Amino acid sequence: MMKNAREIAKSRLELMLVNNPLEQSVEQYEQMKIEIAKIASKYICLSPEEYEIRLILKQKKES
Amino acid sequence: MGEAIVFTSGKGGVGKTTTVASIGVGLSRLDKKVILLDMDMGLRNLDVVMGVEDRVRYHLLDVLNQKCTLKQAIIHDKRYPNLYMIPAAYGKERLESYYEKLDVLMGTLKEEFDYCLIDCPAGIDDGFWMSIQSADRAILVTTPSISAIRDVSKVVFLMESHKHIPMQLLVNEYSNRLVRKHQILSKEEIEEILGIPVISTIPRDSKILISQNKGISILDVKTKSAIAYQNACSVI
Repeated sequence: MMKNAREIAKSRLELMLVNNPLEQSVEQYEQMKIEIAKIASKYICLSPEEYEIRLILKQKKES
Repeated sequence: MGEAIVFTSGKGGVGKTTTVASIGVGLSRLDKKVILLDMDMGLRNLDVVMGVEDRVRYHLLDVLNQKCTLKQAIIHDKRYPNLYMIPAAYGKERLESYYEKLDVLMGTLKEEFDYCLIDCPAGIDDGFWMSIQSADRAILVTTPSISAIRDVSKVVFLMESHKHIPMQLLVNEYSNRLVRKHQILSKEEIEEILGIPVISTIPRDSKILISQNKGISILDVKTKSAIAYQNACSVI
């Protein structure tokens, strides 16, 4: 059955608000990268200039 | 001691200025002494919506820069004995340096007035931060449109992470008919998505535009949105 405008709006909003945690917390994201770098440095012999930490979100599939 | 309430939304065009003006008139009718502060520097409009644009001589930054006295900058709307306003500057300048002075001014105003209603500019730039700086409570203005709700959610996030004051929602351009027809989100769904209580929904009403063009308050018109704004005032 076709979804009505209200249901479409609701699911679009839920995706927008849940799916974009990075945009909503830049500072926390930067902090997280620093902490991950600290842990990584225990295991790999690379200076921070030599690698990059990035979070890649998988596209949330519609059920 | 009065209360400073900021009206903010993130998105423009959702009716912040209209809401500030209407709630101001409504509260003043409940025998509260109210002052409206336009903080939309650069694009001030509250004076226009209030129909007092021809009486603007000084503005908020003049007061903070001590270029005029507080009394000189305050416009008293004679139609409403308890209602006053301070217009915004009509230009662009850095606002961060004014935060402390604004805190002091707000303290003075709260001694004199029951409510200081702050009209926040659209966006989340320095005008936004200045507007929420001295507020005790935030009323987030939105509409049932998903872009307005998304932008309000950003404001909710910024407020929660930087400024801990109570938040409430006011939904403009609401339509019970469209909710019943499952075409727009309901008040309850908006509450659930944003996690903030809705204090009032204001029906979509073309009379708002017409009354603004005439320079009169919607509360002086016999119409559904006027009743809704007046009811919102008793909740506030």
